[in-house]
Amino acid sequence: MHKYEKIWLSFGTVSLAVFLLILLVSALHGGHSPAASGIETIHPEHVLDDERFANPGLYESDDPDYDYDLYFVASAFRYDPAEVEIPVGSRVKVSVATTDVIHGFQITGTNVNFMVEPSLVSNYTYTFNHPGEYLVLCNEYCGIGHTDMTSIVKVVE
Amino acid sequence: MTENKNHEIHEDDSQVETHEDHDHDSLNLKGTFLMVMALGGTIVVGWVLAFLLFMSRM
Repeated sequence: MHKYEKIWLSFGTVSLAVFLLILLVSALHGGHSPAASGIETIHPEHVLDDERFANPGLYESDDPDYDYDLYFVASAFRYDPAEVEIPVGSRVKVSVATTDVIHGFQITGTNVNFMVEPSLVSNYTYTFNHPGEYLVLCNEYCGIGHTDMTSIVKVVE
Repeated sequence: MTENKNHEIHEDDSQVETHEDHDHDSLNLKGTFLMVMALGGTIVVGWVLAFLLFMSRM
């Protein structure tokens, strides 16, 4: 075998091993739980019967791990609430449920970016440290009005 | 049947491929090496940049 072949095959093999290791760590740490472990389900036709999603918005939390609960209802083709204000520096658990098809939920410029699937409550906890106006948008094509599906998160002093 | 026939042809053929023909040590693989490492480097740099973007938004 050529000397160069040994080098690039070693490089490829080490890269594969590192990639698999990263995959294993990222699948298990930091709140990423394996499927069917700690997942909350909700009937898509009864999302609005749930008191959290009947009046979605920002609520102070009893949980010491974060300051606020933020609830959003995603449906074709809107988010409820259409605008929300968050005090700067607060740690917020964002929970989103859909009443119809699969939607996306991304707060642009942050790591809050996940799918919202029918029958699941999707969530992500994030600290909003920078004041400003953030666009919320849908990253899963959900129908003819997909591009108009937005909301605004205002992080205020 | 077919295998035997091929085998006979190869035995008579003076241009049978030998180990020497596949010996890579004598080949100049410098260009291949540079392209393989450049591609690998691009993938690694791309991954690192994506990770740094993720960390900066934490």
